[in-house]
Amino acid sequence: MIRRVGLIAGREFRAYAMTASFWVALALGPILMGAVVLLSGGHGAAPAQPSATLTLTQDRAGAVTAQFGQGFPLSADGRTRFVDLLQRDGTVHGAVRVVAEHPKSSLDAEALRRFALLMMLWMTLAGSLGMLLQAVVRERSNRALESLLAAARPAEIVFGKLVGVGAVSLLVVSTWLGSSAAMGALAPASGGAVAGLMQGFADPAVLLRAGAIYVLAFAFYGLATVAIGALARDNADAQNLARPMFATLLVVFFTALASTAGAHSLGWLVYVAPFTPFMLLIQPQPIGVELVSLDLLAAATVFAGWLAVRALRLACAGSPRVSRAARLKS
Amino acid sequence: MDLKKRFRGGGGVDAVSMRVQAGSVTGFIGVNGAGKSTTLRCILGLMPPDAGEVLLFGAAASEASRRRIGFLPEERGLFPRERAREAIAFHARLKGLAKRDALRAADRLLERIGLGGRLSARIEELSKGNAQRVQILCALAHAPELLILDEPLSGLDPVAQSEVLSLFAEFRAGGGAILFSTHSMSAAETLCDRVVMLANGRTVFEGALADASARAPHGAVVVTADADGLLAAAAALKGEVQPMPGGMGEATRWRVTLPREITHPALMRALADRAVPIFAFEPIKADLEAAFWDLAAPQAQLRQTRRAA
Repeated sequence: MIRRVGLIAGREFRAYAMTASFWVALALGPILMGAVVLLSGGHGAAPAQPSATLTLTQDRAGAVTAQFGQGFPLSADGRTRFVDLLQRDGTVHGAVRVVAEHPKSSLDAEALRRFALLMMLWMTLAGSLGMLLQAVVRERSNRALESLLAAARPAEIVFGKLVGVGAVSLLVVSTWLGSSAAMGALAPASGGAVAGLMQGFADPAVLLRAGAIYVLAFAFYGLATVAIGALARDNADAQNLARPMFATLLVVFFTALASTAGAHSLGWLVYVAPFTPFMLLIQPQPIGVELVSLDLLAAATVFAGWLAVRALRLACAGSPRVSRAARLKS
Repeated sequence: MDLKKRFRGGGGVDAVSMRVQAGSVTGFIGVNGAGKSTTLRCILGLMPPDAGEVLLFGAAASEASRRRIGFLPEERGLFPRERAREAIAFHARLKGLAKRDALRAADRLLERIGLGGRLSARIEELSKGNAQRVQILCALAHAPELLILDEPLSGLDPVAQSEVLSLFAEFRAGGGAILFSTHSMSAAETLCDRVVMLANGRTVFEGALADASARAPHGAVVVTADADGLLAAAAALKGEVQPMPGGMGEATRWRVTLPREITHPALMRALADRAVPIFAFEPIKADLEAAFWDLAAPQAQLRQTRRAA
């Protein structure tokens, strides 16, 4: 099975990657990014440094409020103890209410990096799903799928196409992320906000995590796309059937953004498979939450795979259409 | 047991049976919707039959036995940017050949059809005929024992058709069996030694090409205004007469079916003896096409009438 999956994947990969236009488009991303870094060098604002500020305010009634700045290097417990120390040495008197500083309305460097990552992966995913849809519909509509099915099992075809287009997609993502990291590493420390943003990508842990989440996202959405492509009879049919999925992708994107802009009630969506990859990208979660949500995503991916295989089997088991050539003759 | 496969929306096959003998070429003939594609799909394992059984190489069809089949679908699915050599090797490797053997087979076959100098040509760079031949080589590259072809000649010019037919002849000469579905009676007559005719989801004829032709009606289409004279002449020869659409003024077109031993000149003499004025006389050739019209077409028309009703 692995051998035939590899053969089909290799063919799909070559179909997209062995063209000059693909490599030109691939090179354009890093070139543009480099140009942006060069042009913004030294002119942009330096990335915000975390500050350890504590603001103490006393109202008319004498109640004291201690407000810790974002990035204050103490946990909630540590902050309470710190206030206790201030009370003991007499800096403040009376009851003190400890509050965290309200999140800044503007994005800080870390949030900006996560947003850039989300944007990059979302765009690549949406583009790659379009390619995958075409890869299935092309052969489904001209019935060439039948000659493949006469030589390989439906599961081999599904995973071959997924891996082939996935490899193209991963190559694009790797180029973007890798070149971002390289630009970040090469950019001077005073290179401005863009350079600061890219320096965040130079962390291998960030890159690996983003890559792993992308692979899972592609597997889940990709298998759903193969199922849609197998059910579609032609391009127009495929576009109609795929519209809800692409609409879902849009909803997911904006929901993930909203969850960082104060909509904390959306946090539970991390456990809902279509949302999981993007919620994890935009907002790191405790390890337990990440593990549970990724397990649920994996389970949903297995289900999508089963659906895709079944759809492909059904695609050739239905009533055969009268072919175009036969229609012309009759 | 005959093969049966019905679809929810109608269509399919009810009772199809056939044998494809080693070293033979079997033409699979039927009008659109007769059930040819459904039958081929059942043979290839793309869909399970509701009843009946597919036997391949003397045993129940299995994944292993289906690897001994080469299949050419009607509509072609080569990637335009794929190189001819790679495309052929890909299909051979899917059927189990090692990479080196697959490439060697691709080189040999391309050499055989005169494309040895264009091993690295992309499919989009080839003429339609050559692209079609490359597609056929994809089905042949793993040296199958049975070749199933769905309309292999559609869209080809006469030169390309003859080149493709010579490839099939070579395959048969090597001991391979071919089952090919076609609408082209002349192609079937050129290539086949056996014929299976399908109508309305049923096998209506299976046998040697010569037997099919022998079953074809023999006679003539006669255009005349003297119906009585024609009927008398036909009756004298023990023939049958049916009116046909499309007369000439007062004259009517008649289809006269004659016993096999009665020649066309005998009919003309009988008409002349009765001074029947003849506006046109067109002999009906007793060939495969005539046999097809006689065996398969009436059932197809019956089905259309039922649908209309």
